[in-house]
Amino acid sequence: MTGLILQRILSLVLTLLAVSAVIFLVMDVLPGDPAAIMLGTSATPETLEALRRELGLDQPLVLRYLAWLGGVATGDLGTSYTYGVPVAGLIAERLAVTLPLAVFAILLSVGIALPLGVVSAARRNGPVDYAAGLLSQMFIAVPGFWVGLLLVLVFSVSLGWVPSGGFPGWQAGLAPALGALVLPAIALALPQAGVLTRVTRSAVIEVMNEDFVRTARAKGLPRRQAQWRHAVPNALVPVVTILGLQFTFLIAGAVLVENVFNLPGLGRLALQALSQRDIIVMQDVVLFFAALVIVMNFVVDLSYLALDPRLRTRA
Amino acid sequence: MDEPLLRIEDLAIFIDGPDGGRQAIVADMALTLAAGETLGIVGESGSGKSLLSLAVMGLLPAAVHATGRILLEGRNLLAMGDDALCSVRGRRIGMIFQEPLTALNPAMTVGDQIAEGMVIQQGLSWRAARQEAIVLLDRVRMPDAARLSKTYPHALSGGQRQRVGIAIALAMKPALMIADEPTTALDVTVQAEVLDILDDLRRDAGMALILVSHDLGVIARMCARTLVLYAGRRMEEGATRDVLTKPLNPYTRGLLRAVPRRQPEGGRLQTIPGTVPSFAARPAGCCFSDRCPDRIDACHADEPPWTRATPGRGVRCIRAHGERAP
Repeated sequence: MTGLILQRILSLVLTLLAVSAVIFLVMDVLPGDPAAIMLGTSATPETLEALRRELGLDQPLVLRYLAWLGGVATGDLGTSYTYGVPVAGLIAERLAVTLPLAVFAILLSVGIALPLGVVSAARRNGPVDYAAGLLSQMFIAVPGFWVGLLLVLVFSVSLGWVPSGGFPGWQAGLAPALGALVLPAIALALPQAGVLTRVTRSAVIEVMNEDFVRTARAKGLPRRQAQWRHAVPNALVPVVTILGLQFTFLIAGAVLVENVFNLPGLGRLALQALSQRDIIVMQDVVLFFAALVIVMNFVVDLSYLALDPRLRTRA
Repeated sequence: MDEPLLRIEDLAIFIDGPDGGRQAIVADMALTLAAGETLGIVGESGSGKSLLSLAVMGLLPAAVHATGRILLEGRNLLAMGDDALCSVRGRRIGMIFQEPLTALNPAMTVGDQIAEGMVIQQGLSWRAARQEAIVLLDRVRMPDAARLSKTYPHALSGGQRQRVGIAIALAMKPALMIADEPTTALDVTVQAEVLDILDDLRRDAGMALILVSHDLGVIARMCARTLVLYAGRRMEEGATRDVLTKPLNPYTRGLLRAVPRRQPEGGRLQTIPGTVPSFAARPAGCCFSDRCPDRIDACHADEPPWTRATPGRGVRCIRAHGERAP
């Protein structure tokens, strides 16, 4: 089992290396000269050249890549062209918004999807099942940012329960900070919850027909207990797989939703950096996103070992 | 009079057809079983024997329904709601299933699967129930019970898994044990040991046993009485010795001829020609009439009634009394 985990960590590092090369190449072919954007249109060719040298942009591609990689490996993510501060600090600061937002959204979507999917499976083809089916189709079909706008209209503009956007910062206290994240988290969570409900339902229905659920009933377990104690744990592998895949969409969705709600998160940082050709920030943020996704997949693989004891001995 | 442990009367089991109609799979079923008694139910695949045992547990699939009466200690199980049945399942009736591979939850330790019923039904603490599970594993002759109780089913052999199945069924000391083909999926060498364990435990606990099998050898070894089923009908019932040595129904005789045994001069194994009819394509009259070697024209006319030759001995065949096969 430790052998398997070590093997996975090695492939994780190799994947990240490949991803970093792709990111670097894509950023390099991106049109727009960072030096020209920083200095504006009035800059002379001499000052431009000087700035390029200062930024290291005059070096060959491979050297620039290795310099970046070396920096990342030693924890030095470089200095932002536009903010003039270390990128590592910038990411850490924005992560304090995006990470809680993502965790909040995942918890919400699992909290909605798991009970709804299990109840749908138990009352298959009943009114609850049809209602849940309709609801999840709606969640899937409607884009998250539009749900966000709608939520703002109802809960901030009309009812005034929560702010329509912005983030007071964690130093303002837990309640105001979480309050600012409620609507964005809902907007992010609903489409995920829709997909997850359908997956949970079909996985549980399949496992409900297994012999061991009947064995559980033969012990005198009521239907609901047989379902939650025996069917659900064995239906979690496909559910967790989908949850892991959805994490990518969650991050992509965070970029949109952070902009709709004016949240100072990583997604907004990425968008701002892109419009200002702050290439070093772009590279670091995208690499960070990629690392998050890869680590998440690793966590999903590890969770299989926890969920299915058969895999543990094989590993 | 003493109420028997189990009395089944007029039981019929139906399945919902695709066109909204109902088709009877089992009909005119009846049996009684006293406390501590052993009954073997024998029949080919499709004879309805597994559905019969599931009906007693109240665990028929959703599209299958039962009518009639299944009286356990005088209470009609078919009239009970699921909540009431939950206190019967496991506590009064234990069941052992055919496939030890699929009948156990792959994601729960075997000890917890044995302990679970005692925790949820009898309110034991998990700690006490897990201790009891180790005792039960020991009783089903599991070596190193304390260690194996913490393992998952995939780490056990087929025979060991079936012992776990027996321990689960035994955990709440039921008055009646139903074993549905408990050894069919096992190697022959393991079969004998599992049957031996089952028989010992049954004697110790004074449990009644219904053993469902297609294997007459297994029934002969384990059960004092035998009921022969064919196409959802009782064909013959009686003391196992009588049924096996003096069969009254041509179907029972056919089954006995089909048991493989050492032949004096290497003769061919006999079979019953044809297969069990599907419940939709049952012949008119006696359900065995299209395969029966002894049939006469009258066999195709009406379904023969269940008749009792002597107390405890019953048969469904118009030729069973009086004239013998030509």
